[in-house]
Amino acid sequence: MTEPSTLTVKQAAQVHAQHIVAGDRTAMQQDCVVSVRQDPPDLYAQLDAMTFERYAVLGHAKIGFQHVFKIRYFGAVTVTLHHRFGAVDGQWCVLESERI
Amino acid sequence: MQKFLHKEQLAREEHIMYIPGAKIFEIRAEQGLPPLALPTTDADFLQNRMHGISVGEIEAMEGAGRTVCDFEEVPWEFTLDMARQVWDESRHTEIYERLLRHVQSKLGEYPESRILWDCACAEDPAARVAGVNRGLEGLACDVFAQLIQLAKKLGDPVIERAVDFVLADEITHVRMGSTWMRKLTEDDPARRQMALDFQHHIDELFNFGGARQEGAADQVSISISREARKMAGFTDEEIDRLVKAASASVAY
Repeated sequence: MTEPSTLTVKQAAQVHAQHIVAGDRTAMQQDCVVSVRQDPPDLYAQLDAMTFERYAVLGHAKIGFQHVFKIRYFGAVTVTLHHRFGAVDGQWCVLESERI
Repeated sequence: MQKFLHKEQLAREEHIMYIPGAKIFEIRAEQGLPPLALPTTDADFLQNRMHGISVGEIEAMEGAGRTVCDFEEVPWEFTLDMARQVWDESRHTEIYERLLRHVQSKLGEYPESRILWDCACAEDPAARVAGVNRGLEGLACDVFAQLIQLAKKLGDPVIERAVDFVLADEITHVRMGSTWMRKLTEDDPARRQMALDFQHHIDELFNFGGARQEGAADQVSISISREARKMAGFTDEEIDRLVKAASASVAY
């Protein structure tokens, strides 16, 4: 992880969204746990091939100790994702991303 | 007008997140948490429970509204009762939205599972009222009676009184459902049995693999309320059947 452990989960979600919009594949991967669940299974590969201009955080819900963010990415194609974050070794990491 | 809507067709503000119930349970299980929030395991129990009820009330309002429009070959009084229920549920929605604020939460802070809506989709009106009014509103009797007890323990008269008002309506809804289930099937025992089977299926679903059981309000996920259920007209035999089925439910 490249981000400091002092990031709140909301900040971590914003940072991940910024990495996706910037098309920064390495940073995107570093935001996620190695075994990040993806739906579809090649979601991050698909995102990598897309270009986005901006994003909007639409929702933020809690499930137990974890958080799910609903984020819409705007570009030639507009996609909406759920990113699930959990604390791993004191840092908020993406455990799962799903296209809805 | 389109009839028999699917759960994906429900209109929601963007910030209210739909995540299927099975997935929510799976995510909670990954964290070592029971399927439903417990006062003993979830620090945010009250907010979580209140949120679940709030979206449940929205779905109940939509479900009763859908019953008004889905069935035309029913007595006019049936439609009128369902319309009255829409009115009740819309009032409950407002009450719980304010109770959410009272416990420092808001709509959208937890996901919406739409499990209740899933259960409101029977295509026969007798089964619909058996499942919704006797199954789901029976569940509401348990959940609200438990919430009232917890509010008393917490010394929170706002929750205690507000939920008591709502519980009074739910008791009426169960009674209304029992009346219509009997009336719509009075010359058709096979149809009545199908309606009851559907209700038992709903009951089993909301036993949440053993999460609903008899027990102290602050010890179990959902505490079966004999008192509220009896006020709603459930017989001792029916309550015993539910308790037995709940305890036989496979642990999640």
